[in-house]
Amino acid sequence: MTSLFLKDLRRMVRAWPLWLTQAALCFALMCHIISGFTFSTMLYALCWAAANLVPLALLSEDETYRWYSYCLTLPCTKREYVTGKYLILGIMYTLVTVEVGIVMWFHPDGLSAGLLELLRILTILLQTGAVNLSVYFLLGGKFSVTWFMTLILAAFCSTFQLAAILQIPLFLVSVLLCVLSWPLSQFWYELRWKKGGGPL
Amino acid sequence: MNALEIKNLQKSYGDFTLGPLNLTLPSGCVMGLIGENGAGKSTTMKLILDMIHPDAGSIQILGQNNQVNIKAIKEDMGVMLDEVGLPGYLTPGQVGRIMASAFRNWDSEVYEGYLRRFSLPENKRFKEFSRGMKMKLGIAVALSHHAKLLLLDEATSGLDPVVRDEVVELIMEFTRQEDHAALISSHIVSDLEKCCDYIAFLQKGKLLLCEEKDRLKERYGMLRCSRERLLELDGTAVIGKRESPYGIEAIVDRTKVPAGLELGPVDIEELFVVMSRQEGSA
Repeated sequence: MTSLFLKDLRRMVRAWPLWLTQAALCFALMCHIISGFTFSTMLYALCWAAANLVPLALLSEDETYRWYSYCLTLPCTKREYVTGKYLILGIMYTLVTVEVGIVMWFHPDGLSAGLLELLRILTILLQTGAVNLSVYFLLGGKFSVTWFMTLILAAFCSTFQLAAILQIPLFLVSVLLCVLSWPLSQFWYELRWKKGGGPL
Repeated sequence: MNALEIKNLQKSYGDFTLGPLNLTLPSGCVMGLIGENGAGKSTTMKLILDMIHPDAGSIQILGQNNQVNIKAIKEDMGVMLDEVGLPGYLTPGQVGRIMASAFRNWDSEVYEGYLRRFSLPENKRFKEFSRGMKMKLGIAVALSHHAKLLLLDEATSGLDPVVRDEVVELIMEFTRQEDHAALISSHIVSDLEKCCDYIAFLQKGKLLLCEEKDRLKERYGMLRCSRERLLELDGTAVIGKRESPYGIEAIVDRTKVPAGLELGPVDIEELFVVMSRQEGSA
């Protein structure tokens, strides 16, 4: 388990251009907010993409290098492999929360409005993360790219107000969804092995 | 103690069925699993590693059921699949650090020793390695945690003869210790012939035979004769034959041919090819 996590962590550290881009976007957002904050689906899409792209990229790479198969020759289980990706997603959520939290500190309507905005973003992240990781484990990293791109496009094109659907209970439901998606991902991942003797 | 015991193992995928498979690999021995592509060798390896679950049967590894605690069992297993699936951006040094957190018995000194022995640069990325170097790194990983059972799936395919010979030498070195055993699957029979004590033939998911290599050589012989001479023999004595303008080469069961008949030695590759053809045409 530790070895799987270490390997993914090493990869994340190596992806420094991604972090740099994210930091730059965060800075740009901050400037935008200070000059007069307006709620934007763009902000949600950006956070969502930043958090969800990493597990997808890791899964795709695992398939390219056939690590998904090799890691099972080590003292690791499929359950641990799936859990490792959820841990990475958790790290990404924490990073995004910290980043967005800093940005929301400067919310023109005050800290409470900023916190509410942060909660909205977290709700979206948790909901989409729960669905996305399960889809990744069902379809595999490579096929999930299509899914991911479709969702990105949909998010950018959408006009509905996410703020309208946000309530505290919904946030808790999102947490529950994310927790439930973990065994579901394990089940789907195992199913893919059963069907074809491997995830490909 | 047996290093590996496979009993009535069965697995089906679509129109392919493996088994029922029965194999026993005693400690201190090397078994070669020979079969054409698609015979079921890799499926057997995956079942042993519990990557996939069997439809029926059981597998005991070093006295433990692989369905019960495969994670602990893998601590004592060194495995190399046909492709070493290490991420391309890792260097051997980084691989060593990751493996140190994977295996309780990881021995960094042994690993570094293998890196030096194979002349593998510690700071070069894995994706920049040649296939031979990748396989060597895979073997270094498989042998650096004091494993007792070595599983190699097509480990020598695609390698040049010099590297293949090095790999075979390593396997022989590994099994010099009495409590070590190895199961090697390959369709390069000549490599297996050099290092194996037992040979198992797989054909379309079925085990054609599993016997000691020396016994196989004792039991079967190569008869070179005319067609008429061959027809005089008991039909069940002939395992397979190959006709040419100069006569017939037939692999025969020594116990079923008349004494005094001059028989040449048979090598495992010939036996495998003939048996596969015979089974294929049956």
